[in-house]
Amino acid sequence: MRIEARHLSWGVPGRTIVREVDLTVESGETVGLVGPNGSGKSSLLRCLAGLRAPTSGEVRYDGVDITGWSARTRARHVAFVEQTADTDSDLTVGEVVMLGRTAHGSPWRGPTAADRAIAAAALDRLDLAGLADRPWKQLSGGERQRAHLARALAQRTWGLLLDEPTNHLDVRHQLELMELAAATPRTVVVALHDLAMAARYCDRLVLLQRGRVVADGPAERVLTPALLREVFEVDADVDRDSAGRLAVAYRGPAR
Amino acid sequence: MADPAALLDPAVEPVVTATGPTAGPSGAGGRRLVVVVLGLLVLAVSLVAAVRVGIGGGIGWAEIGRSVGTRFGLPVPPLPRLTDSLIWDLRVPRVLLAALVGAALAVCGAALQSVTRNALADPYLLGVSSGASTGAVVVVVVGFAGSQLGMTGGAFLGALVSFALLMLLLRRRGLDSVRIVLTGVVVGQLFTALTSLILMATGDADSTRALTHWLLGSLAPARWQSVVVCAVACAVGLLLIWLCSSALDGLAFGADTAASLGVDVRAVRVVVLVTTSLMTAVAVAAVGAIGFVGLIVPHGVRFLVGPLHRVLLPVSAVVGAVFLVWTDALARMAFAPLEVPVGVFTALLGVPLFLVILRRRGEL
Repeated sequence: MRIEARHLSWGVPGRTIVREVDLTVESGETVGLVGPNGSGKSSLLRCLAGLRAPTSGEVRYDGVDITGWSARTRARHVAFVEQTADTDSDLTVGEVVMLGRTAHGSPWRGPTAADRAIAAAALDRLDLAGLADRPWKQLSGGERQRAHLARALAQRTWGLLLDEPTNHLDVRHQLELMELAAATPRTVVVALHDLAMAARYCDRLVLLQRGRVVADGPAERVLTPALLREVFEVDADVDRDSAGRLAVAYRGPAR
Repeated sequence: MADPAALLDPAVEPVVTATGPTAGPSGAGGRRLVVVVLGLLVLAVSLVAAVRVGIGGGIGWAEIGRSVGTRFGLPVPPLPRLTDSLIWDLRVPRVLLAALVGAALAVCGAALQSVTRNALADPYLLGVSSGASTGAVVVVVVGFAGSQLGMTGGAFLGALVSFALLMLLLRRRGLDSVRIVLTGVVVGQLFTALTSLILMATGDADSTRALTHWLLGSLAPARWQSVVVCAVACAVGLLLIWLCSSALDGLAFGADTAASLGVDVRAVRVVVLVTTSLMTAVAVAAVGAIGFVGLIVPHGVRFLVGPLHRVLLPVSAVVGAVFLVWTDALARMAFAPLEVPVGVFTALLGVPLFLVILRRRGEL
């Protein structure tokens, strides 16, 4: 599924947060959104997910403007994982993952055998099979993050929008999650703080500054010392490591 | 069982061949069924037993059987008018009404706790019951006291007005638990004061008694008319809210995650707020503002059957019914022949629980 933003702007009264963004994510592509705090990554993702109505411009899935789509229809096209979605509820991990089937159910009946099998497969995919009956509150931050991702996979959508999914994860699970994002045939847009991770696993990076796209392309064209200095205000060396991957070494805050 | 990778592939229609206990999050389905069946059984026994308990006047099972039997056309010798009326016109509707009001308030509490994402939400603590009281009292004073529907309509308007006021005061400030309860208490106090003012200003001899009724709740004036109104509202309300079950589950992680799951958050909020206002209004118009049932019951029930609303709501209804039937029996008997308003006992049970919840959340 192709996800597009056209002249997309969004803001709250008195403050524009996303400005005139044009972005096309091709079917099956994995695109990383990078930028400093407050650059509008989360807001852009929410607009792309249809959770915020653009103040101007539009979002298109496969060329169709999603304005006016029902929540249910949207949820069958894209799944979204928030940066921090927590609850006081005593849901178990299995129940949380089952929430991913909400848009596919009917109000008159509970989950079907197919829903259960899908949720079980999603738990398995994220290494959570043994934790299905564990209450949410007893999970570590990383386990929660993985449970949310399993929930998103259980939604079986072509689009997958992830906001800082590697937060709280240990290195192994960060790598596994990013491999999953890179390998899946789904269209993935992922906001990331870790530039090396973004460079390594994303097909393309989009660099945001104060709500605008300032660079869009392969990692080596986006993560240049000049742009890093201008946007992130850091001095950094960008080089290749022994395996030929892009490596970002920070020298310190820009002076 | 199908290939797990294919199950997650949006390109492939999920084919599930396996039947029976599929792996994964099946939950404690069997246990939940047992709880439901057991609950209904306890409810049935409670309804029957509570009719008998503390009725006095030399009335026993035989008289109750005869009174009820006559109504169903059984060939039993009829009772003297007064005894019969005591059972059929006063006691039976009182027990049924206790059950219906208990069910309604418990379901309202559970639903409100989900849409406001607040463990302390309850029609009473949010001030909705007090708003409904004021509405009903206004109708009484204006002079439709005889009509249960008129009073219910007034209570419904009062409930909606207090809800609107609550939302207005909370606008843009979020629904964190301490703020919502403080605001709810303030709104409740305002409407309680209005109710007292209106009742005192009308100045009839019964105003003090009327005041206790509307502010503390009492099942003493229960009649068949209010049983019918309550039964209809309870059935419709429970069904409407139950149909929102998966949406209420989805709201556990907040509005954005819920919307991304396919929940029409605004529609669910409207349905739940209007339905709970209506159910609260019907309950208040019948028995006054009984507090804390919506807080106590859902918390206990979550402990038994977990937080999924598909099960939580009906079980809360059953447990709420049993709870209020017995609390009312206690209210009748504790200082017999003097009767304590049932709201006094629900508050005595609810306040400690309220404190426990606050403390567990680290807010006290």
